[in-house]
Amino acid sequence: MQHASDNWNVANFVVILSVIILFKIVTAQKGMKTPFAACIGLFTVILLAFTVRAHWWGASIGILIASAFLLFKILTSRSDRIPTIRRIAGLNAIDEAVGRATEMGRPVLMIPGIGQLDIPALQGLNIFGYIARSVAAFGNRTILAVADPPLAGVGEEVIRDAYAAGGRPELFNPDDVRFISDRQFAFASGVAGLIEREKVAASFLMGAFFAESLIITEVAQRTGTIQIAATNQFTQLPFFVATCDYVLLGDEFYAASAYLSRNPTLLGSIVGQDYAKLLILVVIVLGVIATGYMELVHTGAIHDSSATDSLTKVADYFLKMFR
Amino acid sequence: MSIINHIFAPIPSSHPLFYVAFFLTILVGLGILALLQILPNQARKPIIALVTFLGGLYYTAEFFIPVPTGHDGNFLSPYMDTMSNIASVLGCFSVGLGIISLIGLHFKNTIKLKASWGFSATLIVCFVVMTIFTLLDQYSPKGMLIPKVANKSVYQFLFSGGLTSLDAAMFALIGFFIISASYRAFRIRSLEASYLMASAVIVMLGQVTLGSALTHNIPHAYDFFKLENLSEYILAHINSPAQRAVTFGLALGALATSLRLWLSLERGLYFDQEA
Repeated sequence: MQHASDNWNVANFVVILSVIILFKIVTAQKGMKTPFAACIGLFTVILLAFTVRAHWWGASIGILIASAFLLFKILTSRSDRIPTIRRIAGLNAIDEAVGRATEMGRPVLMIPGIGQLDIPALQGLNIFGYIARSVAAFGNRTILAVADPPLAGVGEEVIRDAYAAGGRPELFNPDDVRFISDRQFAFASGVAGLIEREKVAASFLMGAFFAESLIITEVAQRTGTIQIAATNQFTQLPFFVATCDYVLLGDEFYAASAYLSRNPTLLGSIVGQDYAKLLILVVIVLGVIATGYMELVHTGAIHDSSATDSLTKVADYFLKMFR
Repeated sequence: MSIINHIFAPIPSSHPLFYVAFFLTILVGLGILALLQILPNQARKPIIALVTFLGGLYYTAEFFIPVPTGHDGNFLSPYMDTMSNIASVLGCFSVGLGIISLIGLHFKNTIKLKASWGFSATLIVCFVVMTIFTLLDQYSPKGMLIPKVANKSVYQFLFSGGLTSLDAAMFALIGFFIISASYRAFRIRSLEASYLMASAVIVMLGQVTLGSALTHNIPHAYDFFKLENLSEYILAHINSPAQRAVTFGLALGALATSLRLWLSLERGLYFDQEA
């Protein structure tokens, strides 16, 4: 069983990234500052209890400074600026796909992957809620095909509520939320048959996909279905790019719900992710410089001296932090 | 053993307390469900948020609380098995719901003779047959004669001979689909498409002996330009960093989504319109 004590530096780095993301969520939304500030205060006290007991004075001072800075920024920030997200082609095409399906009088198919009820599947269902609301507003039919039984229950609630929000609750058919199979290729053949028989006009594949992705997308390609895909499995991205009309690459999948809803909480989360990515980029660049410097020291290109000794120690410590 | 592990420890079906615990659990579960139904929406949401937070807090705390030297885990680690068993039991309930939904739909299609009702009837027959022979194989008393086909039990014949073979056949289709997808997608329409086509040709030829044979006679000083070396360079120095960059973005997105779900900060896309 892995624990943070296996590599404290990496665990602490993830905590820093999490705090950055939460900070941007909180400052984008009114009403969350006080509870979040209270949580920061509570965690500071708990962490200080550990570090002071262990006589880690450097860590204690660092925690105090970081907490003071965070609390100052949280309590003095203004939450009236809504961040903007760049245009994402795949998401702009959703309305086009739904409109096309409505004109052709054919249903829309949604597949939240073949994983279990986990983060990618929930993110996929989140996006499908928005799409189903558009489909409902157009008076069209939505088919949700799932490979995990709990997803069928959650998906049925999401689609039902989306149809109610779209003003057409009577159009929702519980039989259109289908558990196909939890076996990979039984699911693929079931969905392939569904696409052929129902003559699906638009297909949204958003979640965790594996080898069955190419079977599903190729069959849909043959029936003239417009396809928009997104996955957290980067091994499947090439297949989606080759067979689908639009693909959301990487974290565009997780940005989709913020892009579609313009909800301040979700937009703040995306900004927090971007700042976290910036921090990772800085660490990578510093790591490249430190590695190159240490190579030069080891090969003798840079001679040891009092000036380079400190630099060598810093570079060595930095590299050891992330091993 | 701690009190919590003692209360949630699995009880063998031969133990006299098994049926007492079984019916008590069902009653408590129904009671909790009834209570949740009676409560208004405004009261239900904080309870769900609290349970979600406590569930996630256990795993987070178990990961971050330091492990004493010489031990395998901290004071929360012994309860990991209990938490996994709770999650498995909840999963089992939902499997039943999925089966009911699946059979109900296909039963309706068969009874009403809807289009392609034959496939629905086939599914129901296969489901019943597989269930019967699986239960016979797993739970038949010792000494009872189990039907056999080709020296295997019917269950093994259907599973290994039928289901596994069909899985392999579907998997084999991917090879043909890759050819048709590549033929359609790899067209030189732009500069980027040209790069894609060139790198695809180099990588594909570098994976097979034909590629080695084509560039076998390149002088040793120019070994880098041999197809197998070029292919390895593209995969290791261009493809891998791009994959890692995508992985960083996905991991951060998953971290942000997990935090929002754990702390109940996730708002549905139509949250503001909920009653």
